Amino acid sequence: MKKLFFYYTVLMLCAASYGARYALLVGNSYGGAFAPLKYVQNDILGMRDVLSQFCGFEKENIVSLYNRSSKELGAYLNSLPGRLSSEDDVFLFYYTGHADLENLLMGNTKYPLADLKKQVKSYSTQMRIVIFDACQSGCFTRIKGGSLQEPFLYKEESNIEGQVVIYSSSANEYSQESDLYKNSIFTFHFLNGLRGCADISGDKRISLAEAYQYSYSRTVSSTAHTTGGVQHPGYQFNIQGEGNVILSDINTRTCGIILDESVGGNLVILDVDDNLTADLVKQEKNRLFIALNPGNYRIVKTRDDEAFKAKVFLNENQILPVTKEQFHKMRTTPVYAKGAPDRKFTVGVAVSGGFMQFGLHDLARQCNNRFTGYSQFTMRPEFSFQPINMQGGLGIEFNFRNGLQAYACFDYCRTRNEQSYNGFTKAPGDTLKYGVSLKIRDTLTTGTFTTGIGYTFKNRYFRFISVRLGADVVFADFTIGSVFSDSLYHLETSNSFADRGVLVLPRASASLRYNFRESPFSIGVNSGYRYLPVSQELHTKERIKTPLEYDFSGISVSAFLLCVLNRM
Amino acid sequence: MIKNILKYGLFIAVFFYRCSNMELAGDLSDIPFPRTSGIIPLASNTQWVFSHASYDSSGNLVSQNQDLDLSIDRVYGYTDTGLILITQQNAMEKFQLYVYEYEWESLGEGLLISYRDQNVIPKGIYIHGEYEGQDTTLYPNPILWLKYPGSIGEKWQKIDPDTTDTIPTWYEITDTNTNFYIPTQQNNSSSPLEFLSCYVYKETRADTISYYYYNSNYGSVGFVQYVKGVMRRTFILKSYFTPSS
Repeated sequence: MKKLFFYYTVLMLCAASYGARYALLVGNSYGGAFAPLKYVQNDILGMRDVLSQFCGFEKENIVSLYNRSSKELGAYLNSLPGRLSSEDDVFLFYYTGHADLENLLMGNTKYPLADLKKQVKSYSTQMRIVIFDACQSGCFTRIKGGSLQEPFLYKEESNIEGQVVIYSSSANEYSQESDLYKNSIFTFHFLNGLRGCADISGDKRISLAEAYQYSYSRTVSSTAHTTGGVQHPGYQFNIQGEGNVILSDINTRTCGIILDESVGGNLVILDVDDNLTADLVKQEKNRLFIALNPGNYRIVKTRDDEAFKAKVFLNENQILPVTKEQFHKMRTTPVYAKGAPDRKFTVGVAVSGGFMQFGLHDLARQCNNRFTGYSQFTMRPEFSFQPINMQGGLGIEFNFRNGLQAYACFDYCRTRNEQSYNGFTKAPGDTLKYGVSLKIRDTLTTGTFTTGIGYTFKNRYFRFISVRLGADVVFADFTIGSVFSDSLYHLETSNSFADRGVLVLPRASASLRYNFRESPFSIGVNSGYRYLPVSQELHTKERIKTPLEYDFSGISVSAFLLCVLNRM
Repeated sequence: MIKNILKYGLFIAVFFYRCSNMELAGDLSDIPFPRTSGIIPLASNTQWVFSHASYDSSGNLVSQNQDLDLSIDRVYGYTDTGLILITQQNAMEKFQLYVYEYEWESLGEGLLISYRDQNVIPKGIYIHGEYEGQDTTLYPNPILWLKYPGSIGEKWQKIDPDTTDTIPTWYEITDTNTNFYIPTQQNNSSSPLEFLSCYVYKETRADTISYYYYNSNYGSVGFVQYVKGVMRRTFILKSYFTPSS
């Protein structure tokens, strides 16, 4: 129903004509106690450029108020009626920043919405366009809202004519800005729409309806997987007359690209500094002109999990066609998370299992030396610790936006060996042999606390490759239990030995990881090496040296399953 | 009133404190008896516990893992006129030789032995007398029991002053460095056994041949006895305790 009404309104706007166009662009990065917004200025500059280049707004008729107080806004709004010279004029008010239910939050000042409504209502222009990219509050990220309350709607009486209100989010939703777009998400798509991406009809004229329709679908799509939640823009059209409100006319543009009918899929256009210039979905069989400034651009197309890129060098007054043949398959796939909220880092927890190698041949030698006396019974106990042992553990890691990583994990490993020997002894003055037996059981238990820092590279196949440097704190518990018995003296004796303590070893490791799309889970493998130049006694709680020396040098390989608790 | 209670309480406390100290002074364990070197480390309050096994005349096992306790409780000072039991009163007196009661506790019998290494040939463990229950017999002169140090093949007769016993007892050193094992006496040892270098003394008395293992750190550590060629008894040192100083 809402859609029908929308198209009805668009039809009613057909063939309308307007006079001069005036724009008041207001933005404030700060809003009371809410977290500062990063890209308000980009929003305003982008809006000013697009309005002046494509939308027929003379530069002198565009006023920008960035980080100004409510008093200055009020003063300007009061002065506007004198400037609007004709009833045929078009007035556009754009606000980006924080807001609450009743006010625009401008730094430490507030501008009441009621006053704004009153002012705009009083202008006698034929068309008044009000665009809000805000919701009513803020939170610790740069979502333009905190605890969700009533939707920020610019409610207006229905009998006001010639007025369009577009707002960036609906009831109980946040309006978000994105580090990827370096703009507010809605504003980014709205501006791209005006540049040509929204030209559904292919006439190189973008109506207000087309711009809204395009920015609506792209905003919903971009915010579908953000932690801020999906964001549905809304509108209120109340215009009488015939014709369409043509906001942007790119027919006069002499610089840009034409994506021809063969090109389809998800497209991003990046400038020479890798800034995202446009992000759109194009169907094949349509031609689409996108106005761009002269410069070098990279167009990345993704379709069916494959990525292709094309390079475009635009000179002044040049319109370049871009065809499917110009795209080449990419070796690496850039990860462009659409609508990324501003997380400085992610936290993940992991379970792992694998193998750990110990360099314990020296420990075996020490143990063997302790049993050399048994050679008189024709027994030669041989300690041989398994070089590769199973391990399992839990870990936590922090991945920062810049690729740095901090991690900590705990791995548990236990090895147990049993030996059994039979021999004999002799009594003086006797030729008989009397049987003896020796049973030995040794258990080595290690708990390894690993911590360190790393760096994560992006890779096409594994998505992420991390290299890490850190230290292993190995808590070791080594016990030997032994039982000896003979049939000459009928002796049966047992003994137990225990070493407990800690060793610290440096460690270097690398991991490969594959993260599942649309899922917080990743799987991967980690391989590391820890090094100790010589065997060392364990550091005990009592600060005494243990009788045996240990060397836990070796390679470890483990597979892990990681769950990211807060996705970027 | 409270003052008086405190005064008398303090007096009683001091009295009991002095009495308890007097009792401690009378405890022989506090007296620093000399230790001897030699093949048996002789020191007061030393205790050996052996695990004992016995066989019948056919060689069948009769009993095993029986504890045999051997201990040194009392020490005597040797004088030309006889042995003087060392007590608290004469503890500080110096004697040229100390004689130790080497007693099989379960049997209530034992020997009075000393280690003589000065002004005597040969050196070794000498027996000054023997006792059984309350009956103590002192020999007119100490007789050689275990020669130490010695050489393999050295042989001597233990001449018993009891003239009624006509069966001679012969001793022979059959080894001075044989490897013997006992349950380890050290805590936190990885091996259940401790290996010792031992002298082996062979004792021959009529049809009975016994082999004794002695180690200079522990004394007697093992024993095997044959009667008419059949093994009849063995024992091995199970635990050993001696005061640390």
